[in-house]
Amino acid sequence: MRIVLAIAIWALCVGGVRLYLAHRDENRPAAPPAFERREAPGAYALELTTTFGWRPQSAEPDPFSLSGEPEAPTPPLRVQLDGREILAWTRELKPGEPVRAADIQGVKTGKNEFFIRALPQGEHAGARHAVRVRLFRDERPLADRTFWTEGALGLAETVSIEVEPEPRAPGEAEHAH
Amino acid sequence: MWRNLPFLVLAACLALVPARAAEKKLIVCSTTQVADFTRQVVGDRARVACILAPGADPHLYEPKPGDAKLVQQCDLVIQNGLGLEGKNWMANLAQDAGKPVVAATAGVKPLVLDEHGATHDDPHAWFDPVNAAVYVKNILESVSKLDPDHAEEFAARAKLYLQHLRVLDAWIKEQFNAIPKEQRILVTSHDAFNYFCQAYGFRNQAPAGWTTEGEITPEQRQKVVASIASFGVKSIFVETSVNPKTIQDIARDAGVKVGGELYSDSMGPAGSAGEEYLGMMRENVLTILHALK
Repeated sequence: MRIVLAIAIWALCVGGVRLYLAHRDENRPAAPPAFERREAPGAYALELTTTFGWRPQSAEPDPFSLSGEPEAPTPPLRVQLDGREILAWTRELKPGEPVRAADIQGVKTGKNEFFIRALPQGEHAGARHAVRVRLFRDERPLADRTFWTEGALGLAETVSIEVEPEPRAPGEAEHAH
Repeated sequence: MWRNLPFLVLAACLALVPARAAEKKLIVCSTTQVADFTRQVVGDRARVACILAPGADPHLYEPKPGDAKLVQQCDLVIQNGLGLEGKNWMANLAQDAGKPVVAATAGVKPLVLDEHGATHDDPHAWFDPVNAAVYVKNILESVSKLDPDHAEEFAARAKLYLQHLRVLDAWIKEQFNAIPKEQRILVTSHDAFNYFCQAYGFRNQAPAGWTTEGEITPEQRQKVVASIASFGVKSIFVETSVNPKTIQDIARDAGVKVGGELYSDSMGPAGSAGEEYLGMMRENVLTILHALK
């Protein structure tokens, strides 16, 4: 008799816990709808100017890169927007000469976060270098910032740029953080 | 009956828990370095067990019954390879248990050692961070195949760890720049530091050769004492996983000091600075720097 009662109470406890876990979320208020961001009107371009150079012919494979192709050189400049690569520079890079990514798709109204990766290599590795980042909307500058590389890590920086639904009048800057 | 109620409730709660723990894969690694690299890649997504205890010697290790039991339960075995595991003990354990075994050194360009006419691949490849990156990539590939659902997460961890290795490599180069090239001579108990010496411009001397097996002959010892004198070496080093007596005797004969203890075939115990690869390398570099500068 005791053992039957023990099993009954055990089953009651387990059943109760399982029932609670299965139904506890039913009465919670529904999650608010995801914030929808609209595509910002205009033509966007990004310009990067570095104080270091790079040549694909002389670049050796980067042993610390996780690229799929072990023999492929690591690009000295990469830019991502919302996790999507919008620039991976694999051509010759000259110090002081701007590199341009035109017709950037996916810029939304509100805050846009660009991830900038610059990796000086070979003779330039480890030294401090500057990277100037400029974002243009319809060829008008929207943001202009300069960063410094840090030792062997180079530069890994995010630029957050607020984009208004409508372009501002000339002279009115939008916000970059 | 009511006396038993708390136990029954506890049993009911416990019944709900173990399913979650059992989901984790078990990966068994041969050495502390390989286990550390694996933990850096899998995080808490898998259980990582290491056969060798910190300070144990992989060349001379004899597997114990508990090791075979552990390997029986695992999903993947990762070893160093290149002959580090003396008499192939890790691969044999895996084979006996019918478990897949991966060599973390696959793809490393091995240094070839010539000893008394016999050649061997040097297995101590992890001492060059560039090779450590190869270990990490091989481990990433094998654990991603084992658990494809979390492959993206493993890759993110590996990517971060490779950046740590990049910084470590640059930092070591910067530190050793303070030691004039002619003073960069590393005398250690056994030939574990060839990759390290090649990467950072050191010449090395090790009386015991590439493995810790066997005693050194008086001729070998005399040769090392003579070369210490001819190169003007300031300090020589003992290793954490090798008996320090030989090096201490050589230091006395050559009239130089013992510069400190280096982590070599095994990393340090839990709680020590050398319990992880990055700490082990950092401490070795600072010990060498302090003794030779």
